[in-house]
Amino acid sequence: MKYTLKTCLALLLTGAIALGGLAGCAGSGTPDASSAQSSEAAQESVASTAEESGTPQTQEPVTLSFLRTGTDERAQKAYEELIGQYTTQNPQITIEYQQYNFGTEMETKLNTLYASGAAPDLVRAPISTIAQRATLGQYGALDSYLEGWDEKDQIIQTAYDVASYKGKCYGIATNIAASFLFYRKDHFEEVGLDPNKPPQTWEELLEYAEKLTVREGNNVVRAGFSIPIAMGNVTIIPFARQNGSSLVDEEANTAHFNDKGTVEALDFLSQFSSKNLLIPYINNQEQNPFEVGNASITYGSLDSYNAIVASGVDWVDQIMFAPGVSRGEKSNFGGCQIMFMSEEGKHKDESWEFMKFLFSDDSVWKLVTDASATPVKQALFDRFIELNPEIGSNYIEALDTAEGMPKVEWAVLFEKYINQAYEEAMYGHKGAQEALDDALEQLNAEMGA
Amino acid sequence: MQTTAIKKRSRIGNEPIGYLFIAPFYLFFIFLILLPILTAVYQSFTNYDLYRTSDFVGLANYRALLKDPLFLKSIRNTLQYSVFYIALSMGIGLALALALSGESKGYQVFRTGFYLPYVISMVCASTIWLWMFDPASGILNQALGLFGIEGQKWLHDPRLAMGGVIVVSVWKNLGYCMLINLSGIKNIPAYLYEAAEIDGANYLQRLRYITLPMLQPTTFLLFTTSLINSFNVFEQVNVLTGGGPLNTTTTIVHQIYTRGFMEFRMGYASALSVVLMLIICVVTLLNFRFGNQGQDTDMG
Repeated sequence: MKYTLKTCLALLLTGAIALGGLAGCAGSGTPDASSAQSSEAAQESVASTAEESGTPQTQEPVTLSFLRTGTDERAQKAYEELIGQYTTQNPQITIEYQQYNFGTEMETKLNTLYASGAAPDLVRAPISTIAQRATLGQYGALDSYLEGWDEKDQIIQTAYDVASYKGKCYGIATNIAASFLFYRKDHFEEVGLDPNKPPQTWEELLEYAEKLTVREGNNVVRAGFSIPIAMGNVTIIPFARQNGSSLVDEEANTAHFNDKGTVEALDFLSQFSSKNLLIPYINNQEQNPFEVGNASITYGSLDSYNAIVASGVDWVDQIMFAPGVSRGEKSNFGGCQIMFMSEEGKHKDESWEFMKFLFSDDSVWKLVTDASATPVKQALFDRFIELNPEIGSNYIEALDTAEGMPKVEWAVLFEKYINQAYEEAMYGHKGAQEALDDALEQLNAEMGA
Repeated sequence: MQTTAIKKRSRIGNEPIGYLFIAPFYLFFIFLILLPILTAVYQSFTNYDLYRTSDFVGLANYRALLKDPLFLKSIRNTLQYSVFYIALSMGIGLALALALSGESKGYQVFRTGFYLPYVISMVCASTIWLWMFDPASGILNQALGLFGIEGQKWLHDPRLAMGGVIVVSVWKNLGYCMLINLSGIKNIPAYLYEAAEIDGANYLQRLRYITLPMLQPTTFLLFTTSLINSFNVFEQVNVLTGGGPLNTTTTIVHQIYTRGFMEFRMGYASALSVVLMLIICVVTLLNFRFGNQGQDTDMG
């Protein structure tokens, strides 16, 4: 009996660790901010509101899981409020909302859920996921649902196009972060450029950048045109498309980004580096110098504009906007966030009803105003322009020509090698043609491996 | 036979509580260390993609490693980083410990100041340095400007980027090296110095013939931990440079992360991990074999 206390302690500790290990193996609950909506109050409330909203009633209690990529607090709040509204109107529906950061966190979570048979009913994820996950049968096609939806034609075509793959529509974009030209009125005036005449061609862009760049000795302290020195896929892709290159053949599932159009585009962009017109920064890792007042022209999005406004700088009113430059073709980069439904989801009809709610005028407008989302319905364009008189029309125009990453299963490898070529050319390590030839060769070798 | 079995049973029977007490450690070791290592070794022979595919591919990942220019570059970069990181952090750490081994309040303030970076996270430290290295508005270029020296592109210059990563790592780890050396210095018996002074030894002689030999176990500990840390360098690389420019700062662990979690080639990343584990094992064993550990130092 002398060991009783020690025995209990040891057993307790052993049990705790064993259970801890088992718990670690089990599916985790809610990482970042999850909220199981649909409270008891909601259960008790307004069945009548459901009828008012025209949402069909499902008699059995249903729990939908909704996984959103992105951790922006404003967007989180907006989505949680929308879920709250929906579950109040439909008390039999519970929506378990989870959100994850872009990149690894989101990919890992999706992989785990799909691999373990716990597919989320609804996923809001970037365009880069569509080819791979549609091919794997994880995302379900929405065509049959869209056919019977009376608001189908009110959604802008781009929102369907970016979510389509090999002839099927797998989702609807909630946000198309179309990039458009930002430039500084005060800087233009300072060097004698007319702020009402932003650059429209590549040649003008280079000429303006040379005039606007400010150096101390050899060190650039204000970039004329700010583009990243590395991770520049979002820069080279639209410039290549403007020059007539499609970069990849999605039908044939092959890449051809060493063609004349892309080589010329990379050659053009690398001049900003070789002529010492840049303040170097890595895209998605460091802040664009424009956002801190150290550049005169750049490509930005609604999000980046809101970030500049939120930072409280005193030159916000000096920013002017234009759709962007072109060369034969018009093209802007558009990072897209798309609502998908899982093919393996257990409640597809209920999921579709919630999607319809998310794309109602009120919901879309709430996301526009509260989360800087895109007004993906034609009917909201005028309100959007009224809300953002400076940006509005330029953004809407850019939306027309916005294109995202190529929709191929090997999008990750494409991004890796186009970035490699971009960086090599920007640093003058290789010429544009050589850099792109090498990158394509390595991509093909890795795809064949 | 029967007697042996009875003896064994009785040994276990007499001390069952002992097994229960060591069980937590073994459970921890087996489930959280051994199993993941064995799983990584197994996965290094597959084409596991974090989802459905996990076919056995034999030595294909290891063969691919030998032909992968980025892997070879990452080894070269890691070795370069390790040499400078270990030499600088241990050297400066020792110098600081010697300079700040006094007892007055002033020394304590400096010791605390030098130790502070060690307690903040590497991500925070790297982010702070990222601002300082900024070519347009960073404090480093502003400081150079005061002396009329032209600013540098720092982390965006392929010649300077690795230096920047090393500086941040050394700055962060300096306090730890200083503290461990300080504790080693405090443990050196005072009478050794007194005897040396009576014999007329000057400061440098006392340092060479007493302090440094007596610090050998401390130096061995610091060298071993710094070596392992340096081979595992990742956070500062990921935050400061992302492995660039032109892959001049990509390291082995950075490659493991990129291949595994960005490209979903978990089998290949596992092969990289196995190679890294072997490198660390071999270097550590060599260190134990030839490092001397100060076992023969006469502690008086």
